[in-house]
Amino acid sequence: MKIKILGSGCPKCQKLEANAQKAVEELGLKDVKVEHIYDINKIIERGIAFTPAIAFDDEIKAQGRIPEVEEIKEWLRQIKK
Amino acid sequence: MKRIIFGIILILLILGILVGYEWYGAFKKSQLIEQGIFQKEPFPINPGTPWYLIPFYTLLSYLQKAWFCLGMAFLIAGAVQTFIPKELIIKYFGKRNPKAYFIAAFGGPLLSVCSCSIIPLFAAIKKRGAGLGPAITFLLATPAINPTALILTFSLIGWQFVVGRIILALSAAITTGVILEAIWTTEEEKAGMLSQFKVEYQEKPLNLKEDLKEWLINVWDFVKKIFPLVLLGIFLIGIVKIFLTSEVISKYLGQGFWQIALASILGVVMYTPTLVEIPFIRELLILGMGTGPALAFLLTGPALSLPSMLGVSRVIGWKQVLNYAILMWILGIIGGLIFAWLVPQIKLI
Repeated sequence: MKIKILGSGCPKCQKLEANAQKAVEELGLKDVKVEHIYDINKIIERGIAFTPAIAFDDEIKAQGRIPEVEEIKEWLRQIKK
Repeated sequence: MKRIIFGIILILLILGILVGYEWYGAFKKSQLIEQGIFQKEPFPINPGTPWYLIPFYTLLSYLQKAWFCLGMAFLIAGAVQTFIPKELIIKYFGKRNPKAYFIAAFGGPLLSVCSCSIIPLFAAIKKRGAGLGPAITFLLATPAINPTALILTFSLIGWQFVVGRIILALSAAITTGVILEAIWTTEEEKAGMLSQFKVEYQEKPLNLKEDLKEWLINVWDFVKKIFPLVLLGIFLIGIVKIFLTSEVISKYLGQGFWQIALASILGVVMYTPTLVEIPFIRELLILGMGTGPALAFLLTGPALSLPSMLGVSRVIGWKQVLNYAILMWILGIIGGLIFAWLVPQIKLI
């Protein structure tokens, strides 16, 4: 699975990427990669209106806010079940 | 619904306190002046002030004047961010009809998104929602009439400028959007529009303790992000003031057509960070700038900045960017002329 961070590279997007990275590391998930998509056209192709957004593969989990590490971990745990 | 209503009441309450405070202050001051008592400025800037003190005095007298209003403005910006759900507004951006322009004009400022989110949102409205016209309207209206800027305008310059900014900036933004749509959107594009936002809106219940905490966190975020820039901006204005004399200002930026045209170009070329444009214009007004040029600057400056136009040109072509910039410039001049005619002079307290 891939975690995709969608955002044009502003500080908020960087913070979200860091949170996602941390969540993955803390859970010790080796098969999950965090990827950052900067291209505006690619971002809106997914139907996202608010950046930063976070998606697991193609499922948008949140947009327009920065989920905390714990929240991302919770999503990851649910998927791994 | 309760949560939104609570938020709106909170915003109105803060707004009421601010307006009351400002008007009471102005009333008291005018009473004192009537009695022949002139309050001493703690940081007076006059021909006798040593030049190296001017930037510091500018900064200090600004803080002394604006701290209350600035604080209230941050509280309101945080409340808008916390209590007005963006999803609810964005849902209406998806429809292609004339109403979309008004939603773009009035809804944009309520979203209070940070400047780096404006361009993705612009692209999303254009490609997946209401189309080019409303997207342009959103892009131009959002920075021009955001609540924080209007509050500061009210406190530092006057209500005439607030009303002028709202009416003229919105009509300029809508006009530009409509014209761009007519010129650039082909029938094919109109037919092939996929009007889909993937925005889900879940109503949050009111949870007083949590919500107030979130509000204060958002306020602090705004303060951290904007306040240092404002301080730096004012200090720079103070430095510029050393070199500006009122003869120069009244000659080039006093009332008149060419002065208005020049001011509206200055707004584009000078990159003034959010909120700094207002004390800047205040200083220039004191030095003899006309009301027309001042409003023209406030119309074009926030809407058209070079960095934002560069970012937008990656989403739409540079020809379209040039097109809206020129239109906005012309509308800025017209707006300045109208304002100069309606409000030929303003008394700054």
